[in-house]
Amino acid sequence: MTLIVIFGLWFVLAILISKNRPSVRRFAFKRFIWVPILFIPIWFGTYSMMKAAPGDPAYVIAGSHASEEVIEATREAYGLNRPHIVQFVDDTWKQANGNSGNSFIFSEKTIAQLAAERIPYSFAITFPSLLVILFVGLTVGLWATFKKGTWLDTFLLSSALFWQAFPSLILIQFLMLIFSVKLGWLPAGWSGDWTAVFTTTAIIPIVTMSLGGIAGMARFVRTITLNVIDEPYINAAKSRGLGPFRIAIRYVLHNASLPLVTVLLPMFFLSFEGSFFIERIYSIPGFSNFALEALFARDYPFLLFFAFWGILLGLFIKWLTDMLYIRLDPRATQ
Amino acid sequence: MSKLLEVRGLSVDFVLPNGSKRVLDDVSFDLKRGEVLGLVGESGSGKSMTANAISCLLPKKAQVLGGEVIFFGDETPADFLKLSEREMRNKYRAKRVSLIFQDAKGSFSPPRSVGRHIEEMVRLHKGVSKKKAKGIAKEIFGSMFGDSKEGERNFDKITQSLSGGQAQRASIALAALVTKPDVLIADEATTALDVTVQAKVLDELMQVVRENNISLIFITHDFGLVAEYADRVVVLDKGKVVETGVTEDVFYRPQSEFVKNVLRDLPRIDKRLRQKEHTSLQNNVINVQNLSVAFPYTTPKGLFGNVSEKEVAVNNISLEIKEGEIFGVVGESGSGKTTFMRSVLRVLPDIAQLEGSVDVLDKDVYALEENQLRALRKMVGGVPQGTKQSLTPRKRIDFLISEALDIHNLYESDNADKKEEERRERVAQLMEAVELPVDRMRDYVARLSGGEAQRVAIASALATNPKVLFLDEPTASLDASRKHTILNLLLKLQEERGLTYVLISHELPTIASICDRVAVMWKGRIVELGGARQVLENSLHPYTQILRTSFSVPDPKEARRNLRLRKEKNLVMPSFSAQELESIGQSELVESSQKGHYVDDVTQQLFFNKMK
Repeated sequence: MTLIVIFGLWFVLAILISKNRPSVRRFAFKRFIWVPILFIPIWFGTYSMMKAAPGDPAYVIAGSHASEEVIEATREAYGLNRPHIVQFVDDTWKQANGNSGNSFIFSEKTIAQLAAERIPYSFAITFPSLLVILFVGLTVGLWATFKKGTWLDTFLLSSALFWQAFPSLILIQFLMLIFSVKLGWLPAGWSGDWTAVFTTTAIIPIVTMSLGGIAGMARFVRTITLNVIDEPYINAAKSRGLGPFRIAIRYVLHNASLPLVTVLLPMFFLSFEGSFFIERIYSIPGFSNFALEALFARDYPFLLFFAFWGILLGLFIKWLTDMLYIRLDPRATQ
Repeated sequence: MSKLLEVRGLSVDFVLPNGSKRVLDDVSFDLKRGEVLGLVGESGSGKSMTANAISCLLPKKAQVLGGEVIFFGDETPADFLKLSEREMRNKYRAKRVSLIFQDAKGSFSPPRSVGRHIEEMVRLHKGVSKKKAKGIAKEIFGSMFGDSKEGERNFDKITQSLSGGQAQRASIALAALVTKPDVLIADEATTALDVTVQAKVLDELMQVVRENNISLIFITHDFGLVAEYADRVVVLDKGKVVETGVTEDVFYRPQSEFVKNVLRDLPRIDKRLRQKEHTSLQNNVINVQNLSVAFPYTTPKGLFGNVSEKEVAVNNISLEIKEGEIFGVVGESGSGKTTFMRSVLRVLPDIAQLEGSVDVLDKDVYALEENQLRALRKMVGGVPQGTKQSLTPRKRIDFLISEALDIHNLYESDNADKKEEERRERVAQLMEAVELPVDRMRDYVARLSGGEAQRVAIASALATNPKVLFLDEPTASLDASRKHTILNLLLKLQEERGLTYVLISHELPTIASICDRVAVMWKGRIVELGGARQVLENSLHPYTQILRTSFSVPDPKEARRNLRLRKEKNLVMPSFSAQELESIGQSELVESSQKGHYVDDVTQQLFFNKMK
């Protein structure tokens, strides 16, 4: 049911995006058709790998000291001794209906409930970081482009390389050591619920998350805008009396945004993964932190939930990227 | 007429890693109000640099060493080279001095519609509201297209879906009609267009310029165009001004060696390089009967469907090419010239659908087995167009020339060492034949100029001693003197080796100067076929007439006669809709009252109806 509702909403979105534009509609629906075709094999592959990995879920449920009979009974109770394909269909059906089951480690709550509790925390640090990455990265990258060949360009470029190479795992401890422990200006861990993002608590994780991203973004923006800036239409725009700011925004950035969106949206998705260390070290009760715990505890219902909806989200982001791309560049559908 | 712009002693250097190179050396000229000044020169003469220097848009590596560009449009004259970038931008660029570039499509941002560029321009320079700007922009755009419906249709299009001519019209509207500047610089504005379109667009440009009293700096490499349109001429050569004067003086009484040489060498429609003409043409070398070539493609339909369609590149053509003649095929881009050549050589892409028969040296090309075909290929050579791009840049010249020898194993000896010796000898002979210095044998293609690359391609095609040689655009993008030498070389080789040429070109002067017989192609059909004199001097088909008057002759009187003819007889390329083109159906050549002069009467009638 849940899955049908989600696909329905997706379908409506496709119609809305391609309103009055037949070529876009064709493109949107062609890509939409590909979603189940891609989803089923990816989901099946992931599912099978999870089941084939060492560590029987029955051991986890029954506990490490359980006897052979108890484990057998657990298998029977949870249906773990059924054929692989039957289990797959059953689990898929459950997920598709939004029935994610109870967590092994926090057994009083369903996975969906747990996720709803945890996701706001993760979102609270990833979303501001992404905005910072976007704006600062773009500005620095463009600046470096227009100052190409000067010492400033060299400086920005080499410092970007430094920050990109610096692991966030080390960086956050470093920042905590200086600003929390030595100077005492900032707290050394998360306190309060997700709304604490508006307090000083959020500074260290957001800065840690942004720095590497800004560096990567700036270098990427510089590379693509350098290609754009030599195009004849830039010179032509200049000859028409447009100022450098207008040229940078309307001409350079618009044309550079085409390769940019293909990187940017997937980056949003991936940043959840990047926050594992940060959430762990800064003790944020976020989704990544939870995912890490669940992974080590072999919390199967969680892993299934994570894989199923994660794959779907990934495909949605990919689709959205394509839609955004043709929105920005009408050439793509012609 | 008062002086509007004065360029004095302009010198510009290119700063390169290994020293600097002078690109403009003491360039001086005046521009008067309301005149058309032709700035003409061959490639690398510094024409574009002059345009960029005047509008202060030089690339970063260029360094202005000295000189003045004084603008007299305001009460106090201003030296552009001494102004700050901001002052130049706010007061002069677009408002006073505008540019039109060669690459019309490239001067628009690809994902934005042309209409939005014009809107932006209107808002920037007129300071009107967004709503009003759109109205003004549409009006300006429509006036450039003459027919407001066509303007309306193209306003929201991106350049990718415009034709070259439409894009150039849009860029003229953008540069000239929004701000109506005092000076307009057209930098090779129509070079990339087909000649019939070029003639149309230039006529329109001149009208815009005259109506708005704009002074035009008309930059081109084409001396013919200058003769046709310019009031005065400045000739540049290697960054120096070699001649300045009123158009008639420069063309009829040239002072400099350079202009004299160019006027002597330039292929002209009314001047034949080849004195001898063939009288007894006997044997057929190539016999093409009812040849049609189509390329299938699919277009989207509905949400998921596709419709397969096909584009007919060559449409039912029949012709015979005789031994020892020079046969010319002339037509504009998309007329099917190259597809015709490729189908005779059997090098079409696999998807092409071919009908009809092609006999070369009495053998049906498409019925041959692989080894027989290879034997035939030895006898028929092809020199592709864009020679420099079609030669592998990573190979040396001697490899490229002797490649065919290796493929067909045309060596007398079997011994590897002797073969090598023989190979070197043959390459040297071929290089001598095409007048390339033999000591450049080990050079790479990247180091060749356009003319030299052309010679290498000809030499490699001659390696197998073919009987027939196909030459696709052998003189395109070469300067006048190089065109002349290549054509002379071709004539010399033909006489020495008794070759038959099939010369394919969009340049009527090239065809006219050496061909015995000419076929004129339009939309995949041969519309007129006959002796060179018959076709060019007594053209029967309106398309041939349009093509002929679209080519300008480097002679002001002749060129202006063309201009007059175009206006009086309405010899302007009509536009045909897709339905009209489809409804033509089958057509065949009919012999006219003159022997050997054929014309396609179906399309002839179509043109007559359209041009009334």
